[in-house]
Parts: sequence; C-alpha cells; structure tokens
Amino acid sequence: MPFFTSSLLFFLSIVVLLKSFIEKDEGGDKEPLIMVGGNLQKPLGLVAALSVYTLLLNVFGYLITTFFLISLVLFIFDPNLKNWWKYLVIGAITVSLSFLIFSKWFQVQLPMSVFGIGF
Amino acid sequence: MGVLESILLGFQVSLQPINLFYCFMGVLIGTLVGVLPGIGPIGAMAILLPTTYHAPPISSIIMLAGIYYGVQYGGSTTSILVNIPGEASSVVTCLDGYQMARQGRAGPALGIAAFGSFIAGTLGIVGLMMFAFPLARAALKFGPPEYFSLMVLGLILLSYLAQKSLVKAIIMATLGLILSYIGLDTVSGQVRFTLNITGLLEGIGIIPIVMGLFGIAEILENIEAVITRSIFKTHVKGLLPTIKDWADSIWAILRGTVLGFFLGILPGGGAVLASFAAYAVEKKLSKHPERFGKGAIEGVAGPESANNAATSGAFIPLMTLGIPSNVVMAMLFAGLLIHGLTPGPLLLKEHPDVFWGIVTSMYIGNVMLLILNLPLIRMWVQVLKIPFRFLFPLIILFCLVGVYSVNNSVLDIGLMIIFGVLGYIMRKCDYEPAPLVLAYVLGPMLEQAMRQSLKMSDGSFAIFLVRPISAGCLALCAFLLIMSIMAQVKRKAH
Repeated sequence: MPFFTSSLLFFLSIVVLLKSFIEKDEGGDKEPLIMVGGNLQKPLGLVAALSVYTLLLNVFGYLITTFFLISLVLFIFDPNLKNWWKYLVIGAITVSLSFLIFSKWFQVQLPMSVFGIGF
Repeated sequence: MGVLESILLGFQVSLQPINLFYCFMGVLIGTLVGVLPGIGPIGAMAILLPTTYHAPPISSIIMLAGIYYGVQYGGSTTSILVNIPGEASSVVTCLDGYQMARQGRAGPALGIAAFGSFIAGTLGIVGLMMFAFPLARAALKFGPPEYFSLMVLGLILLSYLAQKSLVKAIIMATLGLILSYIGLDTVSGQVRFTLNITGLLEGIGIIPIVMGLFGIAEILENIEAVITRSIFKTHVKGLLPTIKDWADSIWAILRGTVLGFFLGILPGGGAVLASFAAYAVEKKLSKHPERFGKGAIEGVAGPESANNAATSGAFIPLMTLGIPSNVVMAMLFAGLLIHGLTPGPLLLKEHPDVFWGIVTSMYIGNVMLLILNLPLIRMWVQVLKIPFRFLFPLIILFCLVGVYSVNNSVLDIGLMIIFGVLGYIMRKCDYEPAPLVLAYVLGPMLEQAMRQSLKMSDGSFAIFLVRPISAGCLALCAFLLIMSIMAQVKRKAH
C-alpha cells in the first residue's frame, strides 16, 4: 500500500510540475508553483516565536516561556511600542489564569523548569 | 428495539444534566465560532478535541456535534449584519441577507435564518432516524472489498468536489494516506517512515495534524492582513418574520432541507455545497429571479436551511457505515475512536445509547440554539467587536496547551507547528487540507480492508471488480475522474 500511494503521489507531482511549465510557456501565470502574497513578516515572526517556544519549553517551564510567548505574540499582532508594558501585563495575567485553569482545574501536567521554578 | 423506544432511550441519555451541559457548551462555542470570522468549525473542533479526553464519551461527542451545527447558526449573523461570512457555508447568505439588513430588514433576515435552521435541523434529525436503521442493516452485509471501494469513492468524491484543482486534491489525499502509515505496522510489526524518531513509533496523532492545518494555519493566514469589520449600524428589531415572509420562505426552507440532507449524506458533500446548491435551486425556481442578490428572503431561508440539514445528513455515513463523509465528521470519528467506540453498523446494535443519545441531543441543541440566537442576537453583535489582537493569542495558547495535554509531549507541539506552516503554504498554493485529513483518518481502515480483501482472493486484485457493490463504486470513481479530465480538456479548448 505505501508503494502504490507513493507512486501515485510521484506521478501526480510530475503532472502538477509539467502543468505549471506548460502554463508558463503559454504566457499565463494562472498556476504559479509558489504563490506568495501579503505581508510575510508577521507569519514568519509567529512561526519563529513558536519554534523557539517549543525548544525552550522543557528548559524554562510553562510559566516563564508562555509568558514571554504571549507578550511577544501580542507585540507581533500589534507592534505599537508605546504600549509594550501593557503586553507584559496581559501576558502575565493570561499565563497565570491559564495555569490555574489547565493545571489546577483540568489537571493537565504542564512542563516544569529544569531549575525547579516556573512549572 | 423499535424506533420509539430508541428515541426514548436517546432522550434519557441526552437529558442527563452533564450531557445537557456539554450540549450547551457545544452550541455556545459553535455560535461563538460561527460569529467570529477567522476560525472555522474544524479549527474549533480541533482545538477542543483534547478536552474531550477527560470527559465521558457521549458527552464529548455531543459537545463536538454541538459545535458543528452551532457554527451554522452563528455564521448567518455575521453574513447578514457585517457582510462577512463567519464560515464558508454562510457565504451565500451574505448575498441577500446583507441586502435585507441594508433595507432595514435585518431582524426578519436573522429571524428566518434561525427559524429555517431550526426547522431544517429538526427535519434532518427525523431523516437521520428514518435512514439510519435500513442503512446500518445493509452495511452489515458489506465485506472488506466493498468497504475498500466505498472509502476510495469517498476520497475521490471529496477530491472531485474540491473547489480548486482535482489533481491537487488527490495529491493531498495521497499525502494524508502516507501520513497514516507512519509508525508501527499493525499487521507485520514493521516500523514505517519514523525517521528513527521514537516518538513517532505510535504514528502522528490526529490532533497535531488538524490543529496545525486548521488552527495555526488559519491564524498565520489571518495575521498577514488586518481584518477590518464594520458592523451595519441598524437597530436589530422585529426578529419575528411576517406572514408574507413565511409564505415566501416556507417552501424554500422545505426544499433546502431535503436538498441539504441528501447532499450531506454524499461523501465529500456537506454544509458548504448544500448552501450553494439551495441558493441556485431557489433562484432557478423563483418567478422573480431578478430579486435575488437584492434582498430576497428565500435567498436567506433556502441556504440557511440547507446547511443545517446537511449537518444531520452527514451523520448517516459515519454512524451507519463507519465512514466519515467530510472532514468535520472525520474529527467526530476521531473523537469516538479516542473513547474506544468504533462508528459503524455495530455501533447502533452494541451502543444504541451513544447513537440515539447523540441524535436526540442534536434536537435539544437546536432548541437551545433558537433560544441562544434570537433573544441574544444583540450579545452576539457585541462579540463581533472583540479585537483580533487579543483573540488570536488566546487561540494560540489554547492550541499549545491542548496539543501538549494529550501525550504530555513537546514533540506534538513541534509537529503542530510543522503542520501549521505546511497548512499555510498549502493555502497559498491552492492545496486544500480537507482531503488530507479525511485520507489520514480513513488510511488505516483502507489499508486493512485492502489487505483483508487480498487475503480473501489470494492476492488477486480482481476481487474488487467481481463483487457488484465494489465494482459499482470503482466504476463511479472512474466516471468522476474521466468527467473531470474531459471538463478540463474542454475548458482548455475554449
């Protein structure tokens, strides 16, 4: 079964590739291979923030990493530097509330820091 | 057990306080998600799927189902008042609903959408009750070859109905199948496609996949541009439609219900297709088609009824054949499997309380939605004012904790982010994620059915062609593929 599926995927990928070349030759750009549009800074920033968060979660624990993540995400969504301290306050409140709800109420085991703080 | 006894059993289950609570939570979240543009029913169900791990099985499925049909109600509010559909199945409601609002008739538009949805939802449940028994009985006669071909048909139909490109949709389906192979092969015990990562031995869970493809990807797409919403400044008054409104729309509601219900049953169909089809039918049958797009009440009543009836219809293949017909049903399917319940013809026999409990809860949920949507319409309008910059970080937080809580694994968070990025790129390149998820869910069953069939036939693929039902399904697949290729060739020639 994996062989059949992979062969089909290979065949269809070739079809898409050829189709894009043929359409390019015809002068139209109806189906470009990669369609990039819009403002990419924010999505890239968010992905970077989430990737760093994943790497540091088990090191610094839920409270510390999530606090920084939420503050950073708020900043990414609305980069208004005048109110940066507001983001830190909102981040702290959100993380504390989420910790209470998930850890205490739903009994979810959230990751603990290697230093024993900020679980 | 007769139908009446079954219904009574269902109400006995669904009227339990805990189930009423979960049903209420489901429809409330559903309406909220429907009202808020940016996150659809699939994203919401994906985010909430991990919470069902800690809830009783019936209650969690009741909640997930509540989200699904609650979204259809909520979606109409934004379509009518803001001209932004809360989700895809409410797109056509914008055409006439918003025009009605501009003419000062927002109240009757919202009213007929809610009543139409209620009538359709209720009749849809009656249909579900009528069709479930005979289909489940017929499904018991199905062997592995029939199941295999039926699942292939489901995947092809979903790809055929894909809005963008058939080839790309099939690519997504094959990718979904390949993802389902990751981990230990249940028959031979062989390790497949794990890249030597121990965490992948049990395969990739559905939660990181759907949360990434629908939750994270949707957020990534939405933060690219600032979404501006201007709520139509009108007092929403007189929600009860007049007698003339009723006379104009009652047949549209009934037609929409029947059409939506049957389109919902079809694999790959669902609420979106149903609402578009109902609008087209109403416009065609109308004596004054020129009124459509300028505030015709039938243009709101028909599609809104159809999308609700489709949600009931979509339960039929899942509950009777054990095959999810669309991606929302695939999520419910995953929800049932998490709790050790296998949807299919035996579910009706072995767990009638689950089946009838869910069916009757939908009826109760429809009543709750009517109460939630009509008197509280002003509250939902206020919800529209919540800024996205506060909403999206909360959704991200919910996704992160939700995906982590399933296995206490950081790997799952990483996978979710990878699928989020993949989903974002897929949207940019016109690849739809729905066939991927459906194929991923069907993958293990498809492989098992194929292996069993080949064992039955000593390795001969002819078994799929000599059994009539299986051959019929495969013939239909071939027909659909040929039709699609012919249509493309014709388009090119023009």
